[in-house]
Amino acid sequence: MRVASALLLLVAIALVWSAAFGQRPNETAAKGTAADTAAEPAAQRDFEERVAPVLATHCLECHGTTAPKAELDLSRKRSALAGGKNGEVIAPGEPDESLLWEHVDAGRMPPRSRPAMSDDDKRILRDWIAGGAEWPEEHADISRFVPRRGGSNWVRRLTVPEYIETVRAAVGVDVAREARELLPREVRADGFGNTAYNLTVDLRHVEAHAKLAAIVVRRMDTAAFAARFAPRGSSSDANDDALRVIIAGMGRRVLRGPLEEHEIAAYLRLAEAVGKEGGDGAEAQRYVIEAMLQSPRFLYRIEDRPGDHALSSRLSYILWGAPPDEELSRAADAGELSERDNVAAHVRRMLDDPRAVAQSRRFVSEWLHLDRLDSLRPDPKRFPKWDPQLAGDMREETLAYFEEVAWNRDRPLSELMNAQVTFLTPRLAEHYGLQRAASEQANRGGAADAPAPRLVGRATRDLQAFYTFDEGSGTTVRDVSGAGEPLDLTIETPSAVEWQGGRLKVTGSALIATAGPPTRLIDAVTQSQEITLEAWVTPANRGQNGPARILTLSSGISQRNFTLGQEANKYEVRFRTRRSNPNGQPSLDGPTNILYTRPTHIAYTRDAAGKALLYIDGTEQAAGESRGELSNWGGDFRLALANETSGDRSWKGTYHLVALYSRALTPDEVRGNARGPARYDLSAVPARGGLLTQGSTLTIGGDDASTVARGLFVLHELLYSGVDDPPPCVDTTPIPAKPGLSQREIAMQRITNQACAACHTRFETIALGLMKFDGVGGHHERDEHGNTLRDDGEILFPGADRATPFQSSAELMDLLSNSERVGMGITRKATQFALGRPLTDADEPALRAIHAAAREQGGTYRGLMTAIVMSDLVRTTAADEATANDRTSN
Amino acid sequence: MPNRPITRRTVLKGIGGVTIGLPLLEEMLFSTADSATAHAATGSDAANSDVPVRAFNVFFGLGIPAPLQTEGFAGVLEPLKPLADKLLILRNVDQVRGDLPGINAHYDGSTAAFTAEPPQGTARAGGPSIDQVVRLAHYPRGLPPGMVPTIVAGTFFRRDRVSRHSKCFNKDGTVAAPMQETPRELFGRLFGEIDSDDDPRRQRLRRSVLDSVVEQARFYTGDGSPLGAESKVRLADHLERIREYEQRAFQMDEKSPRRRSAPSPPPESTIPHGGVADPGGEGIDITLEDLVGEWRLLADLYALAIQMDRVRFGSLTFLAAGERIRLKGKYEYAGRTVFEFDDAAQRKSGGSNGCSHEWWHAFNEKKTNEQLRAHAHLKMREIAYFLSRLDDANSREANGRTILENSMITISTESGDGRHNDVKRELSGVFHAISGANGRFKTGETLDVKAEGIDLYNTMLAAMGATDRLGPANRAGRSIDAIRM
Repeated sequence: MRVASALLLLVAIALVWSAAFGQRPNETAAKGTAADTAAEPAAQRDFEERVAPVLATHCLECHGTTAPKAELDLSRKRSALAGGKNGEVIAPGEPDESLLWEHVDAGRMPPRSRPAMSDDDKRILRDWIAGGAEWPEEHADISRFVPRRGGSNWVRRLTVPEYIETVRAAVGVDVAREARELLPREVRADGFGNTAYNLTVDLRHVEAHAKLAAIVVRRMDTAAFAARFAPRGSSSDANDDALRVIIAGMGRRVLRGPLEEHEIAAYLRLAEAVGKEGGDGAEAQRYVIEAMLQSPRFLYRIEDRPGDHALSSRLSYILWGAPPDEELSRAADAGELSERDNVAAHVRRMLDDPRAVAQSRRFVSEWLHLDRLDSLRPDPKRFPKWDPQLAGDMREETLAYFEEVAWNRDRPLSELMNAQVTFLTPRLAEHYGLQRAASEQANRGGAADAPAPRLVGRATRDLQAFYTFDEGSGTTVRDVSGAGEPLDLTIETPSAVEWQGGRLKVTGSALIATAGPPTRLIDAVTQSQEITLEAWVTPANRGQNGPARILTLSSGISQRNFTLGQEANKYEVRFRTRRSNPNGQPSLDGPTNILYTRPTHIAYTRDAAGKALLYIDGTEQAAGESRGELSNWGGDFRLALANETSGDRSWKGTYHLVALYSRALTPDEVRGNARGPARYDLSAVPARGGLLTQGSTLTIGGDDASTVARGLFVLHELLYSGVDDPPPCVDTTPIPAKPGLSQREIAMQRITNQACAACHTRFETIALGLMKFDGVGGHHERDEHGNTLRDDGEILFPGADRATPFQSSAELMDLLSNSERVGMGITRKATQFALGRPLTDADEPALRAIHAAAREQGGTYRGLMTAIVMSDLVRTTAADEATANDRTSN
Repeated sequence: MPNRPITRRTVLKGIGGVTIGLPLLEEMLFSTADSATAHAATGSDAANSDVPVRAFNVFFGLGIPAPLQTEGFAGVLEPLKPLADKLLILRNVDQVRGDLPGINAHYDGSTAAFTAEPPQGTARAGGPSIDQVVRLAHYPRGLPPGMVPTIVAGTFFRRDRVSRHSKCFNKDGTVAAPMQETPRELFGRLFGEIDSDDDPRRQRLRRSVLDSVVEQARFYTGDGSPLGAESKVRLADHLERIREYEQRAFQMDEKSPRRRSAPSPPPESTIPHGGVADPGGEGIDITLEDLVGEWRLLADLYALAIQMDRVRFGSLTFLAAGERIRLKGKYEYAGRTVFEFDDAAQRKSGGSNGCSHEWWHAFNEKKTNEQLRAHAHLKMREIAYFLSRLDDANSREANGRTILENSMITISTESGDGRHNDVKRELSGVFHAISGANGRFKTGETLDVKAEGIDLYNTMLAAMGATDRLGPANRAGRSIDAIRM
């Protein structure tokens, strides 16, 4: 064992040496470590070979970098010599005056619960202090000598999202669409798609990497890119020396660190091959970049060598899912990341970057397996109103909710269990049976004094009019765009409408219109020659025609600038240009088979080139030409909803949202608006509030809303516990509910059955709190058979000696939110995602330290991520380094 | 039945009217025997043998309850009867060691198939599968050029854990190859052509680009690599894929001046794949015709690849462990109607409760188990279809035997006795059948093994000349000599 450790240490030293002096590791190994290490100062060698492993093995678990006990951090020279809350612990040259030696000698340290220190190790420690406690400056951080932990840190192929972000960061090209199309999808392993052991490579990867590299290079201005690294005064047809410099510079950028000599030589040979084919320097540079984009150093996170570059890579991929930016790379080059304070400053900066938010969304998607929603197919006989679009709405609900708690409010992550707010599209709100509370403050369209946005993910630029129907009463529909003089609408026929929470239902022949012409809107559109008409509506029927006016800027039945209308079972848009007739014809018609009497998102865009598109629920459904400029637009038409301004083309249905832009939104923006949910205050809806009351997690129980599946989900994903198999005698065939027999009663049979109770009381009683939610997230007081539903139950937290009762789902959510166990469960999931590997028993001390450090920082997402990346698991744990044995056995 | 078998002849003529201009036309003109012998001469395998060493794992989901296995070919095993002389049917193989507490035996029981170990993760077995142990024993430096090292394919729908359907594992338990789950994907992996450049200069420079990539990969996998053993394995795997790419993209051109136009793959699959095939564990509706149609095309392509000596190791899956489908259609066999499948109607339920899976839960030895029997019979018919493709005239090899007779083909499954929570019942009596492996194993018999799967597998490995064994190094094994010739 001692020999093996020494060998490992020798190799580690060789690697450090080679990294410090730019020598190839294989050269170091080939020459033998003895010769190399002989050149090192004896004190340095003695410290690294003998002292550091003792400290790392016996002290750092408690006195490491994260939440060190007694405020004593023995992982670094500066902090170790400074001492802890009891003062200095090391008195160089005087072991008997050193508190450290005093505790070790007396057997108080390590504590009894940990492996004892051998006499040899004690002697090493005493001799080191007696010899002056030499701690070489070059190797101030000793915690890399922590013994290998259970979960190995292999090289990791970049996941598809990491690949996309890495290309973007390296060369500034967005290859997201092609990468998602060409690269195989990541397969989940142990709950996450970034689990290193499963990031294998198939022929399709190699083929895709080659194609993508060619695509990227085609899109790059490679000459400009290479010029950034060229020696001053060199031309694109650079000589060998200049080319070498360019290659080194491009490589440092694309391959995330300095190149070694053999790598530069390989790329020079490639450039030479291009030259032999008659190519010039510029072409050579293109091929070199193409090669770099396919190289293992680009495609893998190779964090094999201790030091700043490995740490910078870990930090950025964990916090951003992307490579280090220039600032972090510069700090790594300068060796600044060996200082804890410097790392902490970079972590703070990185968590303020939008890439940190994007990465947190990836974490939530993976943790809660939100991709599963894409394939939900509830039994249509049981859920005839199910709309596949709801699955996407549920995903966005959970992601927006997480962003609200973790980022907008910067609240403890425990509030993910019970924050009384959620984010719904009109479609999902109707599915849940929720209306917006009148107290909700409307979004001011991105104005500087806007409150926290109620509407999430929407495009705001060039918004000219915006109606959210939050008034709740009265005869005015306010324009909340904040774009200038509001284009408020007046309900001229109050008896024909009904206000509902966050929507306006038109029940009769109504007219809702501006008092005069919306000049500001007309001016903006005629100037830009572009427009977007957007509406979230629920048509009352599939027969109204005329077309029945949903949104119009017109004057009577034959004069208009535009009209979005319903013609029986299709949508229709008329838009006036100098090439159309005054009635805006020919019109752009949507298909006849996709007009439903449920909340639907409709968007019409017309760009300056005359391209017109009609989207329904975010998907393009019709395209046409609308050529001609708009100088013939009527300047005295009124903007109206629900009817022609002359009152003879009424439309009946419900308005959820209407928006007008003076530009054509992009397809991505339309999709974003169609998916963008609105904030719903749930303070008056106690049954909802928290991740477990959202469709994204409630659907885990399947069509039958299985209390077993839901309970096990909570047990596994939040309480990090498990149960054994059912006993052999039990038939696990699900029993269907029926009149007089609810799912609760069926569950209670299991819970009270002596053979089942030991396990089912650990998870199924929790799910009783969700019994009022059906399999697709709807909330009911009675089930489909008429049985009354209850949501009281009890929860036995793992390790507790008795269960805690709750009377409602709201109480259950509060219990979970206040649970230290749940908090630790979230910490574990975030840590697993960060490390890209399943956790092992060996990780437990570090996990405890991470969780404690996160709590000290408020238990927020920022605090948790800071604690994770500042922990030894990230900062100091060695990668899967080569051992001497690895080198010689290959 | 829905489709005609695909042979080399039909591929050359085109599948269903779709022209298949394989890039390997020349290879296809060789006989299997010639090809096999040629490869044997270049490989390190069984150099004295006239046929190559091959090993394939054939998996089907949900299993055959042990009591039904005792009925022999008179029961659900009837479709295997025409191949009875080429197979050794093994009863009472115990996979209880594969049980993982807290996980139902669909998953851990199925991971034990071909590995005899419980899983280490949802995409990781407890150790290598037997085919991979044989592969490494006989081809320690890789398969001969032009071959795909391992092919994993299958027709299945349930996918929440990889080991429900993927059945080849490396020594460290990770998957040995990704799943090819449509005929088109499988075709592409086996025979697919890499887009080549019409411009020879560009083609040469692309090759130079790849040379630099190979050089870097070799650095990381070579003696001087700074990486540890596990990481090096990853990079070595990547390097192997790069070389395969290199061969398809460049070397084929040089060797095949008569190369025809780009291959046209089989038509797109029309049955669900990916996430929609497993909608929240609720199962899907599918007709017998659609299911069998796709499976047989996949099986034909897989068999063709073996006949062409394009692949020697891998796995093929017909329906995953714990599969959830609601099957509908008239099932006929040997001119008689065996059953009219309509799971949802017969179970009077949609969703997961309407799936055929539930017939296994409802298995009762004292009842007729009519639906379960029909489903199990169907599975045996389809397994037999694949095996028979390796036993036809195109599969005759230099030693006079067929590929089925010359290969180590292991057929296994997950549960046995229906009560998925009852590990003892479920994992004691898991169905197994093996082929003769060129005279290494007995065939034409049914053996009551009464042994652990690990002993069975290790005996098979010994017979195949592999020195590595499954399971703990210090375990005292028991050789199941009754299976050997």
